[in-house]
Amino acid sequence: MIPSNIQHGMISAGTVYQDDLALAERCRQGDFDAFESLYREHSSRLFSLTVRMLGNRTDAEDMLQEIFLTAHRKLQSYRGDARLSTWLFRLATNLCLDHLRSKSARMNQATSSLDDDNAMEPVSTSPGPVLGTVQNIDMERAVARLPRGCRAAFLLHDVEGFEHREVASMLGISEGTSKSQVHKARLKLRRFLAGL
Amino acid sequence: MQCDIARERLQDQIDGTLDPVVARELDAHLAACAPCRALAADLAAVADAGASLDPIAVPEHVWLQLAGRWRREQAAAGGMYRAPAAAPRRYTAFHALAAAAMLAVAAGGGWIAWRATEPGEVILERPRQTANGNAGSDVLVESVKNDLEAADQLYTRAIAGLEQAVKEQKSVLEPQVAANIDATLGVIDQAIGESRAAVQAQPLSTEARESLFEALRKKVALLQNTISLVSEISRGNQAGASRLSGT
Repeated sequence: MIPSNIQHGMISAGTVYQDDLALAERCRQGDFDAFESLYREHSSRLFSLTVRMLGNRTDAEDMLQEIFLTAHRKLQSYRGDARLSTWLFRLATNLCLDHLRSKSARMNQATSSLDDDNAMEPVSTSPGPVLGTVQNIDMERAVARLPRGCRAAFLLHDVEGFEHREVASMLGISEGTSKSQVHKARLKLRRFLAGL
Repeated sequence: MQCDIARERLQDQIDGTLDPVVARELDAHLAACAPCRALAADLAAVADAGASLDPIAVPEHVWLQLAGRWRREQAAAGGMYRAPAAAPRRYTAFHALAAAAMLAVAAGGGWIAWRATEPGEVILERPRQTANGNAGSDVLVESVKNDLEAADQLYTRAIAGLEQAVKEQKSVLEPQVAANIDATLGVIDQAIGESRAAVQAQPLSTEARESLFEALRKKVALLQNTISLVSEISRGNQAGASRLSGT
């Protein structure tokens, strides 16, 4: 029995998600229906992440296909020690970041790793809150302006609801870096949304 | 508690991971410090807004293209692909044709996307003038026309395969559904014709190019959905057929 207070499948050593493992095994064996089940269950959340990471629906549609094809090729490495959703999000995030890095390289833009962009945002010292009700469309636009490292951390933590240790594992960073990236993203978003 | 420490703790407060003792100290500071209280309210609003973002729906054609690519990979990997149990044998060739057509479209789409991300895209918008008048832009126009024709041909070949597949299996569809599909295809064909004329008249027009390829993509998506609908009906999957036909 899986403890109910565990979110997204990061659990203590020794626990195996048998249902996810069984689905992965059926996919590995070339079962088309299993592959479709995998897609139907996870594609919506992964597409949302991908659109917001890449900022472009057409690229995101291509990327979503790459995510599932890559997942299918790599499913033999899935051991059932985390939820399949966590495993897929890790794969998706890294493919998106690779795509953004290669796009930057092609455009001769400076690249930075997730950890070396830690300069803190200047904090407004307004005596009252500067944000009212935040509309979704304004939020989407503001998220699109975030640097890719803190955008990934923000999307995984605040939008998708993963915990910092899960985000850290997905992005290959420390838990402290995950926290600082999310904090930095929130400060930047506040500034973007308030037009400061 | 000092303001700089309070601001560091806000993150944990929003995430609900703050130690209860520190939480009380932070609350006391926030009660007395308006700027920190304002920051706390704003950061909480940002986090709430992030959590409230809606999921983004995936277009159905993404699955159809993916399914085609998956089948091809499976076949290339040694025939491990296990078709759905309910799939009748007589549809094997039909599926293969549809998958091949989808792959051709995927390849075409990728090529177009690659072209669009090349630095040359800027040149397409603003042709450089050469010392000898318009010779440079004439060469450019010719080059763009050739590229567009090649991309258009990729789509056209893929569409021809899909149309043939739809034609062979359309009898499975309800007459009203088939008539609706034909009517929509007619509208799209008209848009393709008008866009092709616009592209021929103005090969450097981004708007004309985008209009043409958008119309071609819509036709591919409609044909792929039709094929998928036929497939679901043939498999006896009423739920899948309803999802695709929107009923």
